[in-house]
Amino acid sequence: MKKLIFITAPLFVFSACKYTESPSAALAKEMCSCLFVSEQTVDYCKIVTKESRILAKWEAFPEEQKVIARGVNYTSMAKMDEDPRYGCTLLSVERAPENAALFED
Amino acid sequence: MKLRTIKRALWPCLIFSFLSFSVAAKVDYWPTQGWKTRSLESAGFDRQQFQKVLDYVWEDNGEHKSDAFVVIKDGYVVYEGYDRGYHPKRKHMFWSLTKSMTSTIIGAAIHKGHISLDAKAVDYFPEMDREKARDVTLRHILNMSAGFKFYEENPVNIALSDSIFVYYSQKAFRDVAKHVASLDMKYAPDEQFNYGTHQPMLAMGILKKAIDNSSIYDELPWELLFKPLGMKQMVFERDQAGTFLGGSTGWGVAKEYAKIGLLMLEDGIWEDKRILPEWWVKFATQTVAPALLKKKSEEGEMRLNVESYGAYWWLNKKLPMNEHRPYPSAPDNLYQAMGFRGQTMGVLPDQKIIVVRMGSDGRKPNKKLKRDKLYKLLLASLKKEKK
Repeated sequence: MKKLIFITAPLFVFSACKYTESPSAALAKEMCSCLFVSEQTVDYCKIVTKESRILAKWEAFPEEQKVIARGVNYTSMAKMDEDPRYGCTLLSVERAPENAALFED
Repeated sequence: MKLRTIKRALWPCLIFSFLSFSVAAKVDYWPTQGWKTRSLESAGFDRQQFQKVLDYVWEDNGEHKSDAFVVIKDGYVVYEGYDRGYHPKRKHMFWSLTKSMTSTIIGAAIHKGHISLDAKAVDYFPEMDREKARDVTLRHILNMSAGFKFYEENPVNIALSDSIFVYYSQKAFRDVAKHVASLDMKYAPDEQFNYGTHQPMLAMGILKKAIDNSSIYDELPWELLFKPLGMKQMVFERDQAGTFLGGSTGWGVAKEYAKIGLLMLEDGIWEDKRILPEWWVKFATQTVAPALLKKKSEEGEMRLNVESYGAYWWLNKKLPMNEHRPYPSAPDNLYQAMGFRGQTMGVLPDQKIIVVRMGSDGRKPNKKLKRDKLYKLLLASLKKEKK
């Protein structure tokens, strides 16, 4: 059993690391679109982004029409295009190891 | 004698002309500036039976959650309703309804001569100059049969799905189509059907490269489709490279999306002008992707062996390996645009009905609207025609 855990644990961690950037990126983009394209309420947008909100925290900047989301190891930013027909664009997905502190508790 | 011969020869022509004019479900006006309305009764519905449709769509017992519901019959809106903060002008995310919209844009681009169905992806993406990939054409990509190794929904955890990673990962998000073109190949084209958001992303990337002019490409969805149909609320999101994300990032309102349904019902004609090739509607909405007729997909691929599929439209054809068609309550020429969280546009050609339902359903089966039940109730609400 121990041997099995020894073998599978690194695989699981590797798999999880590969995808740690996605929750912050998905949350930034989806929250940006929900708030600024659909102009829905924060409460509604929280419901439709609940899967990625489990793994990332977000902050909206209404005047700039952008959203920054911080997940484990990554920070992402999405912003409304100057032409509203193009909605929100994911503009950055950056490594941010310091974000781990946000999820310690 | 000669006159009689000519008359005889003309009869088949007259009959053919009559049939070809009567094939399409001609509307008596074009709703470019907005839909006209009609009462349920005058459109042929039984109001009491139709109430059962509404009871199901709007039931709020913790199961599915509808945001917008529109029913159109013979080109007239017979019902529209909204909930959860939505109204006729609040845009809703289309999720994968975007794929059918992308299909229609590609069809219109083919009609204008921007690209052909036989265009090879490798001619636009050198990343595909490798075994299996170099033979992939736009047609394979529209049939979800290009052959990439891709798992739309990870069976263990949705957060690990390729559909998330394909445009939310650091190496993908700047230029999604280029990223897709570099994905590993698992099959030769047409060998295996594998539904995935990656393929419409690549289709829009191929179209961008074929046009090779950003000022034309940036306006293309509006010039080819949205403006002619009067779809004024449309939003189509892009990646940093400026490529439209053809898989799932369209936004708009239910009544405008329904215009794509009417365009298809009208065989690709709008305001008496052809927008789609003559063969397009049959190809996209009535012809099963060849790979689907071969074998079932492996675990994690496609996920929907019971469904049948055309060119970014879900069909209702029975596949050889199945005992019944996907939506037994609906005719086999039903076609649908379908998306995450219960987004649906169903087109019933025989009844000339278009139904659009936007929703915020959960992922568990008991949290989703059951489309077959919707069609069953809807068809039961039509008054029986008097003989």
